[in-house]
Amino acid sequence: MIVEINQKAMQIDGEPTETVLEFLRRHGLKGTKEGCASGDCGACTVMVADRATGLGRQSDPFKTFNACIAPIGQFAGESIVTVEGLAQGDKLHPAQQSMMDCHGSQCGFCTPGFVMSLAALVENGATDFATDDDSVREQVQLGISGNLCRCTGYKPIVEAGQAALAAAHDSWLYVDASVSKHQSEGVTDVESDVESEVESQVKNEAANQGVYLPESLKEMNAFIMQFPTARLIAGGTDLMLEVTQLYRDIDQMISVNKVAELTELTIEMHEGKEICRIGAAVTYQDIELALGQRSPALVDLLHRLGSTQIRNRGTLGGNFGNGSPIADMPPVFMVLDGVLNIGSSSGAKRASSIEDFYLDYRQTSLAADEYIVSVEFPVQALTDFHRFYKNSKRIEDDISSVLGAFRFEGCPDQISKAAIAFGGMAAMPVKLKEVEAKLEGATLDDELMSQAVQLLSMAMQPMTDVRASAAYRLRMAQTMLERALREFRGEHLPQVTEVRHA
Amino acid sequence: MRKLGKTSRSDSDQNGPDGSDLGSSSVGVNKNHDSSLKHVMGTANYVDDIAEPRGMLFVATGLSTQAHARIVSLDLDPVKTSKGVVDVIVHDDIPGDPDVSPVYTGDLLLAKDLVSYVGQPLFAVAATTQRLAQQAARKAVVEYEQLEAILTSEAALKQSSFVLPTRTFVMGDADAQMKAAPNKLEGEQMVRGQEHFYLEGQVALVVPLEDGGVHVHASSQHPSEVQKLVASVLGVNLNQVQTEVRRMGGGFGGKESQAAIPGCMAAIFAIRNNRAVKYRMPRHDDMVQTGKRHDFWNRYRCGFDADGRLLGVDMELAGLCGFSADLSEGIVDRAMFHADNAYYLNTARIVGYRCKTNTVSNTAFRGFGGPKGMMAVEAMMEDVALSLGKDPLDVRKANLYAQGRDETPYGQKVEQHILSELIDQLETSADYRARRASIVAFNKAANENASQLLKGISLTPVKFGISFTSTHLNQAGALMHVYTDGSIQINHGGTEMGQGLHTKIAQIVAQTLGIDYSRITVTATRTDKVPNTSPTAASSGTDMNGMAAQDAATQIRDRLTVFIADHFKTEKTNISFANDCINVAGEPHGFADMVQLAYMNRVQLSATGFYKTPEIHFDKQAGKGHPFYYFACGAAVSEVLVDRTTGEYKVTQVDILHDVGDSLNPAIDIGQIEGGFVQGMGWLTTEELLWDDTGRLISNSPANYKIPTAYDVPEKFNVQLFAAQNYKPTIYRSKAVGEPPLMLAISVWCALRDACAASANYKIAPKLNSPATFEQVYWAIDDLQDQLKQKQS
Repeated sequence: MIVEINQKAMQIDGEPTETVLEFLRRHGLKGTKEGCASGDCGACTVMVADRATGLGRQSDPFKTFNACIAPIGQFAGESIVTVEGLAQGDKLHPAQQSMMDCHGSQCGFCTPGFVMSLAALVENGATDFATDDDSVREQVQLGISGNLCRCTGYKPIVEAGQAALAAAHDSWLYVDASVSKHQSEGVTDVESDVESEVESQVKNEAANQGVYLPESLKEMNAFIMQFPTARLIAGGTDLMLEVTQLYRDIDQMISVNKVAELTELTIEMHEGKEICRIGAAVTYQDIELALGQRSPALVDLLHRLGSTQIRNRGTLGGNFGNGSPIADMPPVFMVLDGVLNIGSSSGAKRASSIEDFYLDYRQTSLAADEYIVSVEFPVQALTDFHRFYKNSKRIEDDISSVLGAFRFEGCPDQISKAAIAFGGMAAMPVKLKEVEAKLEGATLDDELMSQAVQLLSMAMQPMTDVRASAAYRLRMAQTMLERALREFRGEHLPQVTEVRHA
Repeated sequence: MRKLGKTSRSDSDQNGPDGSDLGSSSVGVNKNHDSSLKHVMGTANYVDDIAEPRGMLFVATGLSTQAHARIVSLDLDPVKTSKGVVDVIVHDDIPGDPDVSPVYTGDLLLAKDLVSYVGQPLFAVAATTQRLAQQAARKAVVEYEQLEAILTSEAALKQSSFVLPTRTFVMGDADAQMKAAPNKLEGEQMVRGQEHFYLEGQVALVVPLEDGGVHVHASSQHPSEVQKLVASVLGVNLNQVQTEVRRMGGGFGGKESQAAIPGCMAAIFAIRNNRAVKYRMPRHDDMVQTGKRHDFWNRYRCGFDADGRLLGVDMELAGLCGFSADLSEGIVDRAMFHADNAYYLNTARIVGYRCKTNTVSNTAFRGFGGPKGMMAVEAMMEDVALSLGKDPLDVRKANLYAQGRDETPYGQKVEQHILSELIDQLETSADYRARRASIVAFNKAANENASQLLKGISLTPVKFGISFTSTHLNQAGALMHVYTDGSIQINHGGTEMGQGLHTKIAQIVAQTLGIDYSRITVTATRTDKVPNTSPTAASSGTDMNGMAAQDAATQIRDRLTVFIADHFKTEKTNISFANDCINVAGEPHGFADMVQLAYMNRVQLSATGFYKTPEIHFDKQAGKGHPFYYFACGAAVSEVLVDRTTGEYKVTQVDILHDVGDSLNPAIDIGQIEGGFVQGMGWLTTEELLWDDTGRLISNSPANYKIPTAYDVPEKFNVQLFAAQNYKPTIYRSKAVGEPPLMLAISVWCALRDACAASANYKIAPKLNSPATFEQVYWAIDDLQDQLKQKQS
């Protein structure tokens, strides 16, 4: 197995769970730091050159991610850039130069991670279409949303990002997106880089390393049959915490990231309706790119789901599959009338409503040989009135205390169809059928709104934990419902989280 | 002496494109951090980045799951037989003294038969990889006999459970004054602690030496303490142990006493196995097993006149120290020293309790207790203003120290009164009065229309005492070598944790010798170069080590002067050092040439420097004295926008005017101010340390303990330096800057409180604890609405 690091081919030679961070540091590339080993601080940020998107569009060529929770085995055949790969001789990358010029480093430990996040913005031309300073600033903030700094207070780093974006428009890094070049010293056995040879070598050696990289469902099914105890891994943003926080070993992993059927996002006509089908291995970032135009509300929510680094790796299937009651996507797709398509290594297929998918706390209806193939929903739902509200202790990169999702059809004084779902309010994501029924068909006046809001306290018994008290959670759920209803009636209720520029 | 320094980070006229000095002055200019190029390249080495010696072992510790319990049995067989394990130690295996307390006693490196908090290390494992060590450490089977645990300050107070005796400052007869006062009020507040969250966790790499000694690569603010404790646990003399600190990935006080632990643990394994050993705490272990900022439960009563002027104040400050004293003596003292903040209390009684609880032993954190005392008096200012219907700023101004109203509760007189002018200047530049008027109008309309958004604004000052309150720590040393090519190494007792200390030291040396800044390299802090050093703490790093470095440089300059005068047969007064040259009777000679000449003529080109802070003394028993050399001051205006339906808020604007005396490096000082402010804002807003009712820390990872991100920092964030030199002869008349700006963030908490108060038309004092999370703000407003309804019915 070969991975390209800073355009130099390197042999993947460790345990299956070895992370990109561990791999880099073991090979002497120590600019990439471990701050948390859980994908929360960004000191380990590196980027990967995106080769194929399958989405029929040009996406960002460089994607940042947290090296601390990404297994190196998943990057066979990929090209990774680290902080050591930015400067060209004595010439610093614009992101590095700006960080120096703006006094953006103090203790310096988080600095390589920030430099990588800013470099990705520069390389991706993040602000090519920026119309004003505010939107440049917003792009910089988003780009570093997964980078924590404890020294500077961020101001000089944001300024450095703005300066780097203002200074540079030409792409600085060059990574051949079609064929890995493996032109380096030291790895002689792959210098003849005929693509098919590399590919077969990748597959064979992957098998030896315990990380399997199927490219089709058929191949994936074969691997599952062969290794029934292997864990399926997509972005690894949740699974890898078992490895880095609980120190569990995982002997075999089957990566779904390259499975063609799982990485597609399609919108097609089906029985007269436009149906959007999102493959389980499609990342949040790609969902935003594909659906952002149709739903600003979804974009706003996605910007508060993890960080840029997490959204570049985390997938829709993972958000459902881990069964968490505080996942942000299940309530959203519940109200969008989403359906889960489930596959099996036996080749069997079934569809499940999202409500039926969840059985209890972290328990889903997935059998041992089953996996999520895709989530599909009628695109029409995004043209209805819909709102997604998130409450968390910190605005960026925080897990929801309460997530409320709402979709209403009808006219301002009468809802014909209501869809209401919450996360963080019970052992699993919940859809509130009684409340929906209460609202549907009745005159939407203050009295009805008040009754519906009151019903919530009967319908849900949230718990108290480190994120919020039960009482606050219930109040927030009620506030969210009332806000959604009032907005449906035509009021505009601003949220402080919208106020990026006061 | 020199022209007034710059007051902005963007003035960089004296910096070349590579950061080199183009002018003759080295202090007062915006030099880049001396490691900034390495930072951005990823080539700055931290302890974990040092090339690992062959056969190195990695340490992990087994942690207590109980808050207070007797260890009935500890079965380590599964640990010893776990893959990769080379050695396992328990308390009795420690060759020397197992107590690693910094000042008093009670901090055991490994628990003996009693555990005192969840997360306390019971045993340690050394294995061939970090991962195998961690896996092994989880395999011990421990049987406990549970004992009753004290988990809160309230419970500790009730049971008189203290780590150290209670102290009181008394000034005049506060009771009599309060009794006679026309107005009185009382209040209480819970102010939670703070996790340091330095990005680089605790770490040490220890290499065994001959004669039973060790070389410790530490990430420590206090290398001499690491040396002392490593020698003590090994049972060897101090001269067998050297500690080296190149840089830390953040410290903030968390690496003052706590950083000795990984060094001690690794040193024991290094000697036992004659192998290099590294102990790097994973983030979770670091969060649960090392100390944090103290929780404080503050209660206050005061009497005041119609202008809001305080007549008598009674305060009780109860610090939650955890299971041992650690540095809590000084920390609670400093809370008491700053319970006045910038205000003359007239008469006062200030009591400081050091509560003993079955939680991790809390430790130093930027501000060292000071922020907790200030929180009490700033809440009092807000309460007094609300009760009189006044703008809190007017109440604050009425209470500022001034001529004739200058005695602190601990007997020191405030000598320099700059806050009045500083506040006036900020009030104008931030347009405080007009903004307050428009905010009050906005809130009035919001209440009338029952609309969701409210605003708040507050201006709060900071007056922070500079010096260690333990007088003996106020000393520093430096060692300077001039080499024959004219390059210079300077070493000093301070450590670099990002604050730019080494940069300022190089600037000071360059200025003293009139030479180019690029000649100077500041080398890693080592206990075998400068001995018996004080921690880099109490904001004193530059004040003390800068003076020591200047002393060394001055000695070299004087020796060169004597030699050159003799050699060129001229008067010493004809010799001057400037523009990277030594001028002899008007003729410039290159510095390197003169150094070479001096060497050939056998002039000593190495010097040690020393400094001790003058004037300070304090009688701990009497609670009176002169503990601070001077005070650093500042003020901030913060504005917030609050959604009363959720408690969610955004800090929309911050304006700061801060006093660093004559700045040695405005860019670095402004960086300290901005960074300190945001760290303080995190402490008071999103960073919520929570324990469950068994004493287990539940905010134990960055997934559930949330420090600010870039989004949380307001776009309108204006920071200016106040133009006034230090009235004391400090290094180039600068002032310390490390800690004071953190407390400027109290303005954010006060602004949130102001917005809460607005929901009840500024008639009732809100109950807002800290951190003021969205949830806390929501309940504070909810509680006010309930009180309003009760009043109306």
